Amino acid sequence: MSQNETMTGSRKFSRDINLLGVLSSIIILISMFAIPFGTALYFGIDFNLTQAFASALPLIAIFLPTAVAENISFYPVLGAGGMYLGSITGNVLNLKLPVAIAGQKIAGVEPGTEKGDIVAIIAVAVSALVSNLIVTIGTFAAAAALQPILEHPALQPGFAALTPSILGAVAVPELIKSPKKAALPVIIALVLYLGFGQDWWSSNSSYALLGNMLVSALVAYFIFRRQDQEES
Amino acid sequence: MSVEIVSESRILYILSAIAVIIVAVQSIIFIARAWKRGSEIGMSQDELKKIATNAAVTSIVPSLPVIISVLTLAQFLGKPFAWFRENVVGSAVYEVLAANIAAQAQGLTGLEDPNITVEVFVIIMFAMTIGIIWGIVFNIFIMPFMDRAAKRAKSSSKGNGAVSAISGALFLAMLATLSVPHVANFERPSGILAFVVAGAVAILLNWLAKRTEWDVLGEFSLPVSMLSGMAAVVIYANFF
Repeated sequence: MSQNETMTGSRKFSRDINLLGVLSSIIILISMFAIPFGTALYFGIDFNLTQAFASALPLIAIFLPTAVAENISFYPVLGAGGMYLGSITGNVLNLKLPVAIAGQKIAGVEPGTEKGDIVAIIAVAVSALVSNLIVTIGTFAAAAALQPILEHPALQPGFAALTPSILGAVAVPELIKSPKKAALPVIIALVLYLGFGQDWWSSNSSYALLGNMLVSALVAYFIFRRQDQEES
Repeated sequence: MSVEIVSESRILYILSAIAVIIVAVQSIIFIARAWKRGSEIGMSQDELKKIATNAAVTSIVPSLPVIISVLTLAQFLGKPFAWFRENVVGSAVYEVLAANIAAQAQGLTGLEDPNITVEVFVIIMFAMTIGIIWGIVFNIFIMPFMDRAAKRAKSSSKGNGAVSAISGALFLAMLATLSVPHVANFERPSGILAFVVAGAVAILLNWLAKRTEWDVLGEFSLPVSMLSGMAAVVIYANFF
């Protein structure tokens, strides 16, 4: 395949993914709102939109800034396709992000490249399908059998440690692989977390994430420019 | 009319199932498009299958606690809506919190309040929906432009090295920030144990995979390391 053909194919793929992403996002939004509206209409339930918005305001105040900060933060790894899927299927931090990173590692591709985006799309989509299947079977067919196991007191601590386990498996090898590059973001995160404490972190972690990424990227850019100038 | 009649109604099952099916179809279409492009640019079928298998295997265990979350939420909001929420956008932590906030905004003490009416139930469903849509809305209005700008920056030859340096920094900063609340929370030693054990097992498996050239060790490093971290916490909690 010539370089020109690759460029054209790459642009077409990117355009298709964005078109698919925007269209499917609009369709899923319609189907999400159809649930409360359709139910109210079907049963003739009086639906007060002003009251409904008033109820939603605290949730919007909490989740709108978080969603924006997370989408910007996760984009460099998941790419546009992974983000469209991740935002719709949820569980990005616990599941979609780790499987995308693991997939990129298996394929030996960098996040942010076309191959990295392809891997992220496949990993996130497969993860969503498997997760949906398990949750559906577990909810409707195997709840009675699974519930005693999943809620067993001996296993509960293990399930509670799911997030640190999956993050440890993904982050430790990557951070250790590039200790010099990882030093600054690790120090910034530690200073913020230990300096402000868990309570502050709980409500500001998205901003901490975005801020750390921004500072680390700026420092990396200036180091690159300085090295580039020295070389030329 | 009781809330239970509405929350377990056939119409709610149908509407929830439609949304879940749309998400599944969307995932399949994305896989097909990415697979096709991957093949075009020289990624082997074997490689693509490995990525899909790894994602599938890794997703099994993290999906199990979601079932409990659905069953917990279903006690108050019915099975169909709880099932839909955990499959679309939602996460185990968010859903119960969001439902409680919406209920409290309606003057109830929480989800378990017996004074919940069908009108309030519909409002809770609406509030939970509008509360969680912002990532999707961002993607509709911003993502195509953001993606185009990022790709334009990458395609300029001068920018290529800078973009690579920035991408690496962004990636490491993300991992560091996400990890710190688990590894530096000394009030929750089980989190630190899980993080360290999972990380150590991942490094060991990757090293063994290189040393023995047994690729499967590297391919399944994520699910095995994750389970090792969880198992370490189970042992610690039950025997120490």
